[in-house]
Amino acid sequence: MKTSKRLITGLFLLCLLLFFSFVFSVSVGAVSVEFSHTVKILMNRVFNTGISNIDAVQGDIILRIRVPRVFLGMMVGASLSIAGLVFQALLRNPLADPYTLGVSAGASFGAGLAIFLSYVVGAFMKNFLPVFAFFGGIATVFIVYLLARTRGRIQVLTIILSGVVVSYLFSSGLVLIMALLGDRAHEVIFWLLGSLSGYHKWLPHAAGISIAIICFTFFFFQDLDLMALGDDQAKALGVNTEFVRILLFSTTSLVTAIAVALTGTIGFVGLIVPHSMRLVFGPRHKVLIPASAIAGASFLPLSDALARTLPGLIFGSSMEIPVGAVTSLFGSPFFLFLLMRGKKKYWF
Amino acid sequence: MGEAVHVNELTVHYDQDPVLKGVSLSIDEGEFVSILGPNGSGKTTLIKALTGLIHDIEGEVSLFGKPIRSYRRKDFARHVSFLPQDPPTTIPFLVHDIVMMGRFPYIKRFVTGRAEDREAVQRAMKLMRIDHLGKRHLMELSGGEVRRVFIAQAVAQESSVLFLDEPTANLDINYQVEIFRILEKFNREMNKTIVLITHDINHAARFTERVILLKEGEIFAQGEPVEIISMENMKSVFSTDVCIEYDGNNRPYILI
Amino acid sequence: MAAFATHTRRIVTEEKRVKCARAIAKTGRFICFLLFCAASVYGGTAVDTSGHKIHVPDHDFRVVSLSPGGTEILFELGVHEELVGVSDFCNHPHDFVSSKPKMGGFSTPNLERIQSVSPHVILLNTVVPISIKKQFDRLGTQVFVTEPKSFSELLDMIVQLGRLFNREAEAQALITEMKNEAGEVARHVETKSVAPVRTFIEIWYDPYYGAGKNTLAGDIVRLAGGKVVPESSTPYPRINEEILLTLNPEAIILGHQIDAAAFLEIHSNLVRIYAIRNNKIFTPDPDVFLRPSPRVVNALKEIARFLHPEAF
Repeated sequence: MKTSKRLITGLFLLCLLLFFSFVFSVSVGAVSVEFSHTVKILMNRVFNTGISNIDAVQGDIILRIRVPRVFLGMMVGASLSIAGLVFQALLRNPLADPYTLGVSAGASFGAGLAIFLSYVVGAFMKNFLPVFAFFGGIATVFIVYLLARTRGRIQVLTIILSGVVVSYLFSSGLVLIMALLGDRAHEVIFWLLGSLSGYHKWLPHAAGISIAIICFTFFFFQDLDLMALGDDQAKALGVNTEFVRILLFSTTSLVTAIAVALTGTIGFVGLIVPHSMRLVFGPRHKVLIPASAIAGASFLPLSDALARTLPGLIFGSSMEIPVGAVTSLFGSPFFLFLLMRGKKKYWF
Repeated sequence: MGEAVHVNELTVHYDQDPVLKGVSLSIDEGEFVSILGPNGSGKTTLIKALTGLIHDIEGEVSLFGKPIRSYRRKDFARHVSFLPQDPPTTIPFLVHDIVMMGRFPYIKRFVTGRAEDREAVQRAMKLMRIDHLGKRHLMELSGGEVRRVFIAQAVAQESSVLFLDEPTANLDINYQVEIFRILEKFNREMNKTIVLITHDINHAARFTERVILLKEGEIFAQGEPVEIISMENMKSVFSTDVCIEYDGNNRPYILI
Repeated sequence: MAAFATHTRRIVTEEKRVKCARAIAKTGRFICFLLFCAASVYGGTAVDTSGHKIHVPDHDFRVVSLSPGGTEILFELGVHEELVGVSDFCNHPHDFVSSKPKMGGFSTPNLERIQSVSPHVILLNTVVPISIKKQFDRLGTQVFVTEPKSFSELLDMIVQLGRLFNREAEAQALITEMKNEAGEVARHVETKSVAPVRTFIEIWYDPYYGAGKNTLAGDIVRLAGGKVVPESSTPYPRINEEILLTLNPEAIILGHQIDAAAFLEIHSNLVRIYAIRNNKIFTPDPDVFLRPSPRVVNALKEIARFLHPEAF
């Protein structure tokens, strides 16, 4: 079926939103930089148009601090949205999000372990925190998969339950670490709150992998559509459900683990962006996959921009609200609005 | 007419309990077969084994002479359709999308939107008289219309063998008759091989040409309806006394 | 005659009353005097850095110190036997603290163990959560908060501790020594150097936390010839990367241990800052710099030398 004009317009609007999100997020921050300066700095970086009378500090603020942060936000937003979308399709469960298989619990545990070791073994361990977090996330998915295998096959309900149990297990491990850390537990808490600052040096590699995986996922849009019919019928129509599940769970868990390793646990995005896109564009994954990726990539940097500037505007303080709080605060009403409008023809 | 499906000594266990014990049967191309039996006799398990949905089996199942294990999934799906007992009705797809899903075995991963697929979907929807429902949501339709949509999906699949699990359960009488008439048409005009499970013995007797009666995981009897649907067999298999009458075509029907 | 008698009786009653009252007043004053003597003989009273009054008997008192700085001060004041417990983080002087039972961390003190030694007073810094403080209140144990916000407040605190533990002479000696050393540093810096160096005291990173001028650390830097940025009345302001970049401090003093490579990596967005470009970064021993203890003058000397090498 030809993708209708309406859908194409919708996607185009989303791209505009992405562009706006980028420009807006880069233009606001704790230090106010004139918009014309921002534009000049960006243009110069891309097209070498020259920045004669602009403070080098402002250039640093825009290019070294804000732009990487926005790119990271775009990457993580897209990754979490796609992961949420795929999990919802594969598990046929509207409450599924990227952390259903326990990735966040495992990654948090890994991060906590790295922080703990930095006190016990040596401060250099902190550099490996993203690595620990990443492998913690991957390990949990692996364990969940092993637990959920019955007679060589995976049942949907078993996977969800295994994910819940393993999450609890790793969360308790994390709580234990925090108790052992005692007065220094605040480091773990900072990490758990989730933030887009820091660890930008891994960004190019992480982004490359994430984009590759998102594109790869796109080619399974038909399989994802058919999974909605149920395992039996999907199989009867020729979908290799076992293989598709394992493959897509692995790739999306990988992408989620990367996101969490770099930014901590940012919730809500992976749950709400796919549902919002479904309400607007319908259930076909051929459209949903690009739409969710673009929407997620716009939503997170915008939320982060608000997180960085709202405390200054409202309270006059230079505090930053954790970005996860902003995504829920502003995302929930928007989602409820969409839900009220479209709930007739929606899921379940 | 060649042999479509051949089963040899099929045994299936569920956690040590045998659900099917040494079942052997064969179904020719173009046959219209029904599988009857009480709950727990293994009907659904038999169909799932025949459609490759259950792997853990002993014995052989072959399709057109080749063991079904040797077929690739998509390949197998071009020959065999399966309509499960309760097709999902609460999914948000449009009718057109659902029918198009039947084309999956023919669509390569990186290619979409071919004319032949669109035409096959159109034909299937016309045949099932749901072409006016194309843009409607599945959730808005009645039970009978939903079944027609999924049968259209099977038609779009262009398979020569159709397996259906209780296609008329919970439907109004008009829909029940309609669906059997459609299946009859597939069988007579398009030479499709049809195997269905039903609880409705009268329908099976009226429309199908061969009845396979299962009891406790084994084939109790199989043959023409007039032979199989007898008072002794009903008493044996279903533990109930019934009265049986015969219509003008010598087909049995049960009076309660 | 009867009237006169009544009148006389009234006068006599009056006189008796007055005499009684005077006697009572005298006794009262005497008792007060006794009590006062008793008080001055039996125990010391002091005011801690948050303004609370604490009282402790002169001899046979027991004190637990959950403040590493407090422990060092107690050692210098000669409060040895009476110190019956220290925190996990008290580490100086080594031999002194290793013989003392450990009572837990700042937010995880072992309440049972503390209770078992029945201290009269516990020395605490403000990192301790309010819930723990409330526990101590409920148990009736006094708490002396050791959080001076400047060098002079630190000297005051030492005097108060001296008063509290009947070591006033030692306290005076200690603060005189500290005042002299600090004074010498200040003189060097004033006479031989040009202007205060704009300094950022980095307490933590990611997110960045600094020390403001209303902290002991901030005051030490001021005395050493530095000007603390950002100018905030918050003791430990949280500061944004962008703002730090704009502030462009000339020197950075680290309040945490980190190796050079990791520092550069974490601050990679801020390499334009004067302090980083010219490698004007210094890490004093945090045990000496960030503690309210007599050793803070050592930190003062080191920092002065770092900020104004031309003056030494």
